Amino acid sequence: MVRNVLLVAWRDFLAVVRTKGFLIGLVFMPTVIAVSSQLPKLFKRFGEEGVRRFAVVDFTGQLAGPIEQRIAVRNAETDRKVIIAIERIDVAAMDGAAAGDGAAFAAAKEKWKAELSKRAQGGDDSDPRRLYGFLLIGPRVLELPVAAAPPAAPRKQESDDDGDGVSSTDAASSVTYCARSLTAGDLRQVVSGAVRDAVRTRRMEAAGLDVDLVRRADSMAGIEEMVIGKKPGDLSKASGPSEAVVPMVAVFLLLMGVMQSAGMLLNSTIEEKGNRVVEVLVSSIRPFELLAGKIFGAWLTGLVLLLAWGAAGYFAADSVQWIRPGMFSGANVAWFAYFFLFGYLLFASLYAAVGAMCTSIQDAQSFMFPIVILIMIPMMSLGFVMNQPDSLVARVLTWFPFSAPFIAILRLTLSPPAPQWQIAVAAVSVAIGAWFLMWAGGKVFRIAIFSTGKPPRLGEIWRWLREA
Amino acid sequence: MQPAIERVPAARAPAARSPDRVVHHDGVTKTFGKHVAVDDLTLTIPRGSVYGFIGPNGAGKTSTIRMIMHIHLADRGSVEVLGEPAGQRTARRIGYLPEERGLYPKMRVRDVVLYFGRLKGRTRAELAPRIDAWLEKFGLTPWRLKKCQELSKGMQQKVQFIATVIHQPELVILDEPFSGLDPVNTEVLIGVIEELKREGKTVIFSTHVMEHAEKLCDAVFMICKGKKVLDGTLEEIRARFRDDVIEVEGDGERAAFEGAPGVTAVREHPGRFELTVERGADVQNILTHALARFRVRRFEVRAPRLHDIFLKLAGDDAGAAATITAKGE
Repeated sequence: MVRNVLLVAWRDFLAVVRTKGFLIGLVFMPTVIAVSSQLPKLFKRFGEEGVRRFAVVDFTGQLAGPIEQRIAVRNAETDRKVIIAIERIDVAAMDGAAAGDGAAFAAAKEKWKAELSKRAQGGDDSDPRRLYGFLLIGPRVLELPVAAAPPAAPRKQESDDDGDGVSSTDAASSVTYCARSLTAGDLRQVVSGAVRDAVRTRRMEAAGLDVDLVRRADSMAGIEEMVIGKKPGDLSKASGPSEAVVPMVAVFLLLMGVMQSAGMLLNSTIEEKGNRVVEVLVSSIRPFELLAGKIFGAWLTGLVLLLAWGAAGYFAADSVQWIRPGMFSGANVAWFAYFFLFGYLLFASLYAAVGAMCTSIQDAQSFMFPIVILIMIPMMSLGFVMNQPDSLVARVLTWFPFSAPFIAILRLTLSPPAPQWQIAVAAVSVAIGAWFLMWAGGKVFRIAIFSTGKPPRLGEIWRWLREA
Repeated sequence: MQPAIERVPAARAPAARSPDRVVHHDGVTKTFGKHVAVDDLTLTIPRGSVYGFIGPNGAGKTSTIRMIMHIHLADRGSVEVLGEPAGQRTARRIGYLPEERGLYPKMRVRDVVLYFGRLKGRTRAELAPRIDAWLEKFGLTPWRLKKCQELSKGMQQKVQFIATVIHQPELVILDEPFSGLDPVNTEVLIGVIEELKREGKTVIFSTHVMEHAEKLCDAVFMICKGKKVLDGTLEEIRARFRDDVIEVEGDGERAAFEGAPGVTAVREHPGRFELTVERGADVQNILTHALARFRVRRFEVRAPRLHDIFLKLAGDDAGAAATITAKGE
């Protein structure tokens, strides 16, 4: 018997793994995972290079220098490929508008806008004088804003001198950032960050504050997240992704493994029935041996996929330190294997019975609908279980055979993990469910595999179950 | 009304097993829901014979065969195969070519034959040289590494036949083996069946082509609506159905033969009529009757062929067939 089961399993396994589709799927998913985890590094490596020149028109006369210093610090970082060059423009010397009134500033601003944008538009990147962008820093930027007005009383709109929607008073206390591209977010962040930092520092100095003290006070504000383990003093560092994304991905991997295998089983059963091979097969081996071999063969193909995808996912997550210690302990991996096997058997029995009853995938669609609903239950409840892992609903879902494999794995990888007794109950529930469905599915398979014509009605299936 | 063939009384006590028989159905009944596919069938197939299963579509041939293969289980009665109750063990000793052919389209020719042979319990080492020899015999050697889907229907049928006999079965069951084969390949297959017979193998095959049954079979079993209506060697059957057949060619209407003395049935074919006459009928009287109403160009009396017997028994309705046969006897 075992020999026959293995023969059928091996044939079905080879029939799938030798197809181009399987090989592509096998390689494609890990490639996507590996590439996406390494993508930021790749982007950095193959990103743009060169000098981006910014002109700084500083009407305060105090900020250009600190901005330039901060940019220089950023440029000195080793992996920078794009260097930002700052060209300071001394406005006081050129037009004396630095401390002028609103109208004079508005005129000077327009003048500089026109002049500098001309320098940004013309020429090519090899021209050292060509600008990438410029900053216009209003003369009142360093003034502290008046204490916050009540929200119900909006500030009175000042006159809009230049028609750009910003009053001249507002414009004088703001900074204008102009660049050839505003989608180059990195540059914008660096430059505006440097401006903000310089403005804050100057304001603190003007207010007589100890800038260094404030900085140090700020740096203490970070919150370190730790997960409390089972043993006394057992704390491990956690991050958002490791707590939310990794368990979800583990469940989806399990789901994909189960569904891929069961889907392959459905297809091969329908194919064998459709091309009439099945009669030759059951004239040589028992229908149960055929069913067992087919189930095992499809499980093997799913296992190969799962191992490839799981390994790729694990190493990708580990490379960005998303795997919390203990998340995939030996016990958890064993549980994962257990729930993959029994969860698969549960659905495979249903799929095999459906495959035996139908002669085409189209026929199978109507039977698949209730099965898909069963799959959707755990998927729709993942978010809820993550938020309330020990609620009654979460426990019921952990023990309901069709959701148990997925919810149990989710709860095992969450922090804190579900109590082992709850997982053990889930394991028993899945095993009983799988055994029952193997028994019922086997009965239906034995009769249905010879049926012809349209798929049977529910009454007929019920009769098969009672008679077989 | 008596049935066409006197049935062998169904022995309810298990019959003694005999090494001379390979299959023995004893009072076997098989139903599917309310439909009785095989009704109280008793049938014995002797070792080394070529046995033809004939009957109209849906008569119960395939169900009878599937019970031998242990694919279907009898509701009543017993099926003995190769000296033991039909089961998985006996099924492995049988080569079975089902009516509905099936190969894995994406498997290579050699692999598919190897796979089916291994499922029958043979090892790779045992099968390898035999596969090559059979492929050579059927002219399929150049195709051995091709996928089955690349082969023509006739070639696929030959591959299927090889898969049926590759494990050297003691009993070979071929359900409609000639359907889909061209005349050349039909002759090749006939040659192979004769070769199997010479090797002492027992061959059961079902067919709708009576010429094949006549040419190859030692004995014939016919089933209609689940009931056995004919069983015996060709000699026995011909002796039982001694009604002559008269073929008449000429100008005239079918009505010319109706009411002719001793004529039990008239069949019209393009340009000729076929008259079935009662055993012992005076042919001279029939000729005189015909000459009075018909311009006769040819009048020939011949022994009935299996085809005639089949039509007589099956007709359009098995019940009517039984009536005709009883009358004929």
